[in-house]
Amino acid sequence: MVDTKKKIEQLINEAQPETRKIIGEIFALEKDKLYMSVAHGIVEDIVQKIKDIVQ
Amino acid sequence: MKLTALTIDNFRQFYGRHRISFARTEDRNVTVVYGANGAGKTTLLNAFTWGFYKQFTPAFESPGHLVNERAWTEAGRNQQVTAKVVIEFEHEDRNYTLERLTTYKKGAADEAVLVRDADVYLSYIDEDGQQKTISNPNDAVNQILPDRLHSFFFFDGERIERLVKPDAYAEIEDGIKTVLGLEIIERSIRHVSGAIKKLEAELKAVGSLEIQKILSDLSDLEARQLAKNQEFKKTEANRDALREEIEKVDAKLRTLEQAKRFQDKRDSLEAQYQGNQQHIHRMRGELGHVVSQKGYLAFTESPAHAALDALNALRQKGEIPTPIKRQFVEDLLEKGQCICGMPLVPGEPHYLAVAGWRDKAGSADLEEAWTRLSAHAEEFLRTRVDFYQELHQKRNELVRLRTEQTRLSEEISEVSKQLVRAESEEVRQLELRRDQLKKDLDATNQQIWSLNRDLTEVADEIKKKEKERDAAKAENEKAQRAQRRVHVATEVRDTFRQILEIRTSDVRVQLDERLKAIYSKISYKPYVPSLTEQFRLELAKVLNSQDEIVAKSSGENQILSLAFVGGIADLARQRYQESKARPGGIFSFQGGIYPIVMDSPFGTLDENYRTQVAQAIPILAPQVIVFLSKSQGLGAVQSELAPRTGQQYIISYHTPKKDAGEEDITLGGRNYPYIKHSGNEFEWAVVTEV
Repeated sequence: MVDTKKKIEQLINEAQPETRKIIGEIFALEKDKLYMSVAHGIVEDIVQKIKDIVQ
Repeated sequence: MKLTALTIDNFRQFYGRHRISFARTEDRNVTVVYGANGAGKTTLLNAFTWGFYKQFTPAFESPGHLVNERAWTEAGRNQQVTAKVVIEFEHEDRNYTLERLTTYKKGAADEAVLVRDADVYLSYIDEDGQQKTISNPNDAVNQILPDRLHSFFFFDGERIERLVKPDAYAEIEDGIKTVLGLEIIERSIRHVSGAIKKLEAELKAVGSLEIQKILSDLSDLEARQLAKNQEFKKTEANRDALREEIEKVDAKLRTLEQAKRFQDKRDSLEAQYQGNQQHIHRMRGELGHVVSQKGYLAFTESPAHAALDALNALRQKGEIPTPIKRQFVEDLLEKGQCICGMPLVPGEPHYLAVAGWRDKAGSADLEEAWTRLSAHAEEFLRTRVDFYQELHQKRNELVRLRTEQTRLSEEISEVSKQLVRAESEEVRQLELRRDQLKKDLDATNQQIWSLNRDLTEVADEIKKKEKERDAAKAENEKAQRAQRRVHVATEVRDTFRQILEIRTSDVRVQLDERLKAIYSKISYKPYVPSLTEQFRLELAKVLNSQDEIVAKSSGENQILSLAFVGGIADLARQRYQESKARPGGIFSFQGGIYPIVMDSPFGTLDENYRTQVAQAIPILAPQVIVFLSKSQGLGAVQSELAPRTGQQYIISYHTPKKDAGEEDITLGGRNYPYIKHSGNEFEWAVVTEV
């Protein structure tokens, strides 16, 4: 389990700063909508987040 | 989450209102409800699944008829009758009440008019003692105990063995992923892939012709991947159905006098064959590991000999070991004095004579390097021999296993021939059918293998095309930005995919450990269960350091499934404790402490297994609710459960059949009606607390 956490942390840490930031933003978006059977508009929200971060 | 009480009102055979309170202390965590077959045990289980998820278990017949028949008949025209379930539970220090109801109104011609269709309400008592209603009860319930997990916690014991059937593998995989909160990653992958498509469309609009062509190719490849994936899933479902059919034929053959002996032999041979197959798989893996780690030794013989020869040549020439070291000469010259005491002045003959030794002297570093190299060369030659020995040993073992497989195949085929020649027409027909199914299964497996290969190829092609897309020259700033966005989004998706893979594999291993621990507590047989990489539940017997897959009986399947459910509950509990200790993790599902509600968990078990399962039940989860018939639950089972039982109830079944025998059940020295004549045309049930 500890190894797994380390592996994932390493994976995220090794990613480009933009990638890391987007992963965080997507998790936040998904957490808000996870328990909804249909996550309306989430793809558009993700596209916008990517555009905001990758200028 | 702990269940406090269940109230049912005119729900199915339960006439009027009945309330069951559940045991929920640490030392007394078991509630037992006794009821005859058909009295309403499965209805109580379904009161939970309908209440929480508006779903029914497969064994629940006529789910459209929820309103109690007697209540309906007694209602007058224009009157409403409601079937209602109220579940009280506590979760995270809050007391919740969930209410689900269906109401019908009796029309002018006695027809049923639906007024409320499974409406649900959820409320809780807040810190100030006020009752608060939750606006989206389904989402809230899903957050407390996800729908994808509910079948592991509310289950029909007699059908629980289906978890070991091929069609349950996907359900198991889903359940595992949910326990570890991987849904969020799966959804992220899906949604980011959608975002990539949108960003690619924007890139296509501003990109060069080259980029447009690459994106079109990519789109075609993805369409191909989708189609192949669908075909793959369909073929897998076919394979599972064929396996299921073969299992059914085998089960039938085991019951037939003329076939039983042969089928038992085949079971044993096939189990050995499967065990060997796994052994071959492992051995191939080990062989691959040895070759990847030590394969370079195969190429070391010639360079090692060359190095040793060169070293020997230097030795023969007297250059190694060197008579005098260069550093020593350098030190004398710097010091300005020879070892004989003669001063060494630059340009003087003595100085030049000593300096002349500098060119003849050897370097200490070089000599050391030669010494190290020769040691390595000798080591290479030694380990090379060991490597080849290991390689031969493993290859010989593989040959032995393959020969053994051929022998087993021939024996299995001989058994089949015997069955085809059996006197009984039924046996002959069954075996011919099995033979055809087996051929179809082999063809399907071949198809799966080739689809798998196609999918790998398409995935590689997509990867290549994505690289081309990211490397293609974007002609203007707008196109460059669009290209970078697509590239970053793809990197995000790939990172999510890797996280998913790591976590899924990790949880499988953890669950496998728990499964083994719980199974060993329940079963008295020397079998070891395992959750395979394909999320299959298997049982193996350890024989001469080699595992042999066991042909499982119904009882063993049930125990295996029960141990798996216990493992899931345990993992969800551990995840909950971890997330409490370290809040704010990236994985949103925080696990939970869940009760287990079981209908007839002793169904097909023999006496020994019943006792073992009864011992294991209280430890499966912090709260356990069991529905049992008299024949399943009294005697040894009752004695085992008694120390942990906090609440007991009886469902008294009232039958309209006058010729049916009445029965009582004795609990705690008192008699309670178990089956009773209803005295009218209705059948109904009432719940009594013991």
